[in-house]
Amino acid sequence: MQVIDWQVVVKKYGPIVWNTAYRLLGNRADTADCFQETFVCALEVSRRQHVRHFPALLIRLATARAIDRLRKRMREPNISADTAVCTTIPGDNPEPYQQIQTQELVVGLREALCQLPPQEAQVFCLRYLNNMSYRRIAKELGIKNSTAGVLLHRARTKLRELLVKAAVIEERQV
Amino acid sequence: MDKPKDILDKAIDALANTDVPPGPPPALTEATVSKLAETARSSQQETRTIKITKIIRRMSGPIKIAAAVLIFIATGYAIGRLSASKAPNIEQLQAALEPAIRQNLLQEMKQYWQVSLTDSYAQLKDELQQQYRRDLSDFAIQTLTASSAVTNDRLQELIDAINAAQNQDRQWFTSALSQIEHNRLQDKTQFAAGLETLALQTEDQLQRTKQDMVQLLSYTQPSSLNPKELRNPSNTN
Repeated sequence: MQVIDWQVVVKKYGPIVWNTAYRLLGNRADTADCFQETFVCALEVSRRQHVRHFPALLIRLATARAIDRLRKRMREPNISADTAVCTTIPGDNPEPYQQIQTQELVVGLREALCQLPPQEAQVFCLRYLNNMSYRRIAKELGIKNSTAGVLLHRARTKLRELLVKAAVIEERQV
Repeated sequence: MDKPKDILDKAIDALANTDVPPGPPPALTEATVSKLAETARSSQQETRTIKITKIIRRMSGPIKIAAAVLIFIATGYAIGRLSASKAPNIEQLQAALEPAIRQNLLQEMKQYWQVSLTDSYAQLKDELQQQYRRDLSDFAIQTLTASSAVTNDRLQELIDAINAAQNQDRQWFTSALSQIEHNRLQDKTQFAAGLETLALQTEDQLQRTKQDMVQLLSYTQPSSLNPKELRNPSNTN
């Protein structure tokens, strides 16, 4: 059985998990919950199998948990996926208009990610938000490289459609 | 020329470059570590249960049957033993129960006394504490009053002493000034008298010198006068 010093693991890879979760969720409370869930899940995984690459496993788990939370947030009637906007730290962008546009895009992408099948959303996030290679994604998700490519392509297509649709609706409302 | 980015690429860029606050907070890290430890403990217990279940599952058919029969027999024996009715022997029962009852009673009494003693001890302690505080505060008030009275007396004495010293100094200073003035007047009088005397003497001397000068000018040399006498004028009358 693999002996793991979880205190060291949490301290070493905590920031990676935090960044991954926060980028998708956008607020501290959800990110903190996701952070804990990710490590508990990693503990369970480490009981079942030997973990060779902790960062990749933690990123995958954090992404999956964060997407689940996003979906849950979308399902709840009073809370939308853009709750995060209130707590987002303003960046160095000097133009308020650009900042609003960027925020809208982020919120739109988060909402669109909630509408994708879980595996597609996960592949998309691992590739574009965590810069993982196809090979690593395939290895982490237990699928073939080609399958990862297909899932990513589908995810991109669907997300683009959803974003365009959302943009059109917004323009009509304006 | 660069191809304009489509909406998806823009959104990906925006999401990937979202500002993330530094984290995780230390409290969250600690909470996570403790939660992991707790989960590990509970899952160890689950693992033990699963192991026993697995052992049972691994047993082959005849062994399973034998174990079941054994458990069945043991259960039957236990039920029979427990449900068997016997005529109760009162004395034996009393002898058997008495020490236990006595011990229980003793224990209960002991507990009761312990509880009541603890309560009374706590009450007594509180009362003593309150009394001690009261006494201490009274003593403090008295001490403060007395010390302030003594301090006031001492201050008054000091003020009186300072005033007396100042008066004495003033008197000394006045007498010294009057003495100096007296000396000055005396010196002035003496000086004036001296000056007057000097002036009178000077005037007399001047008169005398004047007369001498007149006599000298009116003096005629006699013809019979010896030249030797001329050389020695002190011999003249």
